Amino acid sequence: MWKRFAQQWEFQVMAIPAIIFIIVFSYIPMWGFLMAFQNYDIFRGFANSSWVGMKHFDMFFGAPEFWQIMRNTIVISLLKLLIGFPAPIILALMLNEVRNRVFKRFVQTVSYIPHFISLVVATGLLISLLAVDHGNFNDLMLKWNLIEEPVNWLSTPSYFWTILVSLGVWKEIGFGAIVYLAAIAGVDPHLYEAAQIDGAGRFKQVFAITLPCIAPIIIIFLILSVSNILNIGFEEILLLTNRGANAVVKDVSEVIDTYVYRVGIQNQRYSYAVAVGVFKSVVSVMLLVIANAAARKFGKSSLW
Amino acid sequence: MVFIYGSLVLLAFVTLYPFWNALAISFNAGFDTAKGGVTFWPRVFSLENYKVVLQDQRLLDAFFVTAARTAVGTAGTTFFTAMFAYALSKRGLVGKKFYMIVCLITMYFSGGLIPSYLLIRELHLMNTFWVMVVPNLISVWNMIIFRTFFLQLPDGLEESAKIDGSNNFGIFFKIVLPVSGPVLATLALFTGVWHWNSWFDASIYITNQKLLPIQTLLSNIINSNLTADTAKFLKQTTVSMLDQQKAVTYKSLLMTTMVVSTIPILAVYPFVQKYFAKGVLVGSLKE
Amino acid sequence: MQKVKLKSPILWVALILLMVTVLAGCNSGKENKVSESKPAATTPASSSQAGPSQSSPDNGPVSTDGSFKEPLEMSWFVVYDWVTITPWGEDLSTKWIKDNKNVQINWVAANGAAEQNFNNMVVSNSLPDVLTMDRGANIEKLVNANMLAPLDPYLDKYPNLKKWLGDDALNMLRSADGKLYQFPNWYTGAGELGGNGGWMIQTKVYKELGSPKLETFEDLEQYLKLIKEKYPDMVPLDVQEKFTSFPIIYSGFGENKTFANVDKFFFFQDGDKLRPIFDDPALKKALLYASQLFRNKLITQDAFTQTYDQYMEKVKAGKAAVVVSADAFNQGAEGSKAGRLVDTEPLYKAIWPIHDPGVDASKVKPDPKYRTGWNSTVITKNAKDPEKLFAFMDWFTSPDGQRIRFDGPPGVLWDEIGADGVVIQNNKYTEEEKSNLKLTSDFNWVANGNYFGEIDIKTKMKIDEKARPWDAWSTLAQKEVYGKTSFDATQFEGIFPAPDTDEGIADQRVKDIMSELIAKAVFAKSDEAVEQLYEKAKADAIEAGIGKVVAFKEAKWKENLAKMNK
Repeated sequence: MWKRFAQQWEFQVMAIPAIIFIIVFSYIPMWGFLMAFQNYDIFRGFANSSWVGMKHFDMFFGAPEFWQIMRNTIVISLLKLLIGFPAPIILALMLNEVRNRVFKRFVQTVSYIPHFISLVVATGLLISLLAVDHGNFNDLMLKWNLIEEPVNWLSTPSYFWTILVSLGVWKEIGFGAIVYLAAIAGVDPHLYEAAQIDGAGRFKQVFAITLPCIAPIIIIFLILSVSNILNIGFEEILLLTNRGANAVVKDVSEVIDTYVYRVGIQNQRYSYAVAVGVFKSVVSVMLLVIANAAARKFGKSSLW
Repeated sequence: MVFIYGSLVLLAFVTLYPFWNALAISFNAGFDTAKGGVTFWPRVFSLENYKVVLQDQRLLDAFFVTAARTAVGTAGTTFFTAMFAYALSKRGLVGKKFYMIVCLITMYFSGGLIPSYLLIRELHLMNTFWVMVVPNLISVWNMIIFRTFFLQLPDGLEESAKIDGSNNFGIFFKIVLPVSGPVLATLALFTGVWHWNSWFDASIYITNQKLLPIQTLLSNIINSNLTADTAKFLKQTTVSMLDQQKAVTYKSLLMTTMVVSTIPILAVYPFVQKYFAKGVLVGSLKE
Repeated sequence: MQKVKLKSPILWVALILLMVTVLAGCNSGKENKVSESKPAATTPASSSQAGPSQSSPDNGPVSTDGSFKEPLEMSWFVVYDWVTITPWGEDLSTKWIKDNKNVQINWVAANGAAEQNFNNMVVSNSLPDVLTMDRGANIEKLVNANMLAPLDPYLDKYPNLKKWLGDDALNMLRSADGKLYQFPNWYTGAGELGGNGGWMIQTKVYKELGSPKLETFEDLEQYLKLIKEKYPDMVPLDVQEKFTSFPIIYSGFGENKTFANVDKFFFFQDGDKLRPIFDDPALKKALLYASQLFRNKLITQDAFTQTYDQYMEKVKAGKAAVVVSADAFNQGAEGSKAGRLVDTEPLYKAIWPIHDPGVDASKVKPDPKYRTGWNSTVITKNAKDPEKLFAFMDWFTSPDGQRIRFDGPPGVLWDEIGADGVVIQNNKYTEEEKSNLKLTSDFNWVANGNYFGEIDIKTKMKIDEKARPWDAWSTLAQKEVYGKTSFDATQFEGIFPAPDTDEGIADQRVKDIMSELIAKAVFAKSDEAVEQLYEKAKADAIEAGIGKVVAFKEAKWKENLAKMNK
């Protein structure tokens, strides 16, 4: 083994400093996760805070809202996955078909603008758009006779998930498409020529050539997305529910992170927040392992 | 085909409108915007907002800081991460599984803010420019994407270089990097955007107001006006002096700074698009 | 070869993880040990400085008029996310203080992450000299960790605080060890409470509709219906962003009920006892009333979704006929200012709180006010010379200091002071020019509410009505209405359990239950539905432990009363 090591010394030189870097910046601070088992008190410090074992975990699992929170988290994530994951891919494929370069560039550039609009501004715009008193959306729907009187969109639980997922798609579709566009750019044009000679139409070519060639990237992203199911951003939800004030939709909007933010961080229950974070990490790693094993089984590619 | 063009036009409109609206507001006098209803065009044209933004020394400083951090940080991160990924894509690498697992765990487990803060203090990076660049030099997420791409490169590419006698470093710099155009450009863009938009790291590690990046400064301005609960307690108004029947209000300022901080990135994109040209890879193989 | 490799990487990783964790944990433990010894090291130094050598008879380095022979510099951190402070010396007032009193304040920025920065500073023992923060658990913990400088030695030497606040309220501020660590902000003496919240009406439509009687909830409902009919474009009743002002509606259904009962206290006073809020019939009545109004579209349908900006847009455009808000004091001024260009009369007018017919109007007091102000400033042990800092703060809250803060430095808007302590305006500047001057600062962190209530109002009243600054609306509104309808809640100061205790956790749960109840009740489609929601919330609250929460708060309240009567 060491002989091989010596032979590939250049590669090891490329890798080892990076590993050391990661150990310094990511592993050394990791002792913080032990705070989950303490009643960490910033005034006493790590060494002097009392140890409480699994108390915070028990509290979390025993919280009355636990099942609701888990349900919301998983449902919202799955929705985002089912709709938000394919969306950039489809956009990239569509853009690839466009012949007119100017139009293509225009749409590409414009579509990734929402990524740069801060969530505060974006949700503010959305809220005023959906407002009941003179909100543009309601006005439009009334004009087209689709509804009879203004609807309180943001306060109706059944619409909440749709609005949330739509916001997510709008924000990330353009930016996400960039990676897929780069991958599509790497596909050998000769393959397309060959397929055309064989009689395949444009549509068939997409399925027979493009998709299989960018499959590795798609799968990697898919694995990563699946493992992040519990980590949906809480900022959008917080802002859309007016920082928790719109309690009418709380039953469908409260997810793990908003719960931790409210109950943990805002109340200085630091250890509680860390404990929930550890729970999420453990589950995420499990999901990662499962997803990766599944990808391996299907042959294509995997993370390791 | 009609369907494709149709949906793309719709998408373009939906994604462009909010930004267009912000543009309109930024050119509109603040007190008029406060009355509501400004959509596509400014109602009361005014350049005051831009004057305030572009002449405010604090904002100019912050722009410079952000630009510097983006340039240096992006170059550093992209280079080091790519090199790391290349090594990890070599099938026979000793310890490869170990390295991968070390990396992956960090994506899910983190110690939290207090330990990181203590570490930064130990390393004497507090309140320096480098605290915004150094801790981010290796990005595991980017590394994974790079690696996937490198795995796809045909072996023939490197064989021909080996025959010519280059060592592994040479192959990396002379062959692999040039050929990775699209991926390098993409990940440089991602990293650049991340640096451009980041605000939280500076908000806890940097106290020197002259060293704050633009987004931290902006969030300060936003936060100082966001909650009304505070106004409850103060007998004197919290409204800043800018807000008195003047052309510049907090909202118009918010939109203007958003426009000004987004335009540079939008301008960069067309240059990056160049690298997405087809056939870059194939051309070199034919040789 | 392959199988062996499978197991070992994971083992390696686990081993390294464990090693690194343990090492780093020990390291940080050491770090904290070192930092914990530091405060002890600085204590002897500062206590010697506070000794007799300091106050030399020739008025040595520390004076009572806020000026210092040697420059006094301090670092000051205001622990709120929403704070951005103009650098010291960039406006005329602070520049004058800097030049004439030799005082420099270096503000530490919160950068939008105040809590996190505070935590970091505590953990690494790098707190600045002065902190301004909410009262409660954090201050007490700072006291317990021996990180704050006691202020008792300076109280008599620099008498302004004691004089204007009063001994009883001062005792309220003492910590568990009997010492005083907190310098209150916007404190007032008895009888000078001020008040910010309540009701206001848009005057234009009110006049057009014939200025009907608007005192009881029934009057209000009639009026709102009239508005809806005649002015369909207007919002009949607006209730602040997130419907924050529901508790004010509640307070009209009884005597001496403040809005804090519903949003923080979760109890109501019944004689000399405190009972859970869900036992208060006024709460159910208020919920039913609000629900009915909302159902009939007499309250803005965007109540829960609107942000502060969107709400203020309506107010400024005069689109709300009646407004109920905990900050009517400021918002009425804002709204009237925007409308002042058009009309000669202010666009909004403060009115006496709307109440139930059977309730004594003079006893309706929605706005809880604390004589000890709304937050505190503390001096940490990292400050080299606490006495000087206290001396400065004490001077600043004296009429001399407050005058600089409210009216600007001498020579700009005024040159002389009249007999009653009110400045005499020199009328050198127009209103327009005044708003361009960077006159007074936002240095609000130690302030004397008495000055504002007694003296500042006289200043404003002396100016001709048409030329008055727009915030004179606030002063008048407070004098006539809001100041009279505020409730002295000083006795309820600091009664909250720490958030990480059992009672604290229960308190949070009750808060959640209440906010859900309000939201769902308002949206309920029928009175029966409201009743059901109410009963369920009541039961949930009992299960969550509201009993022990109220008991805890009652015990603290009794302690406070004892403290104040000492």
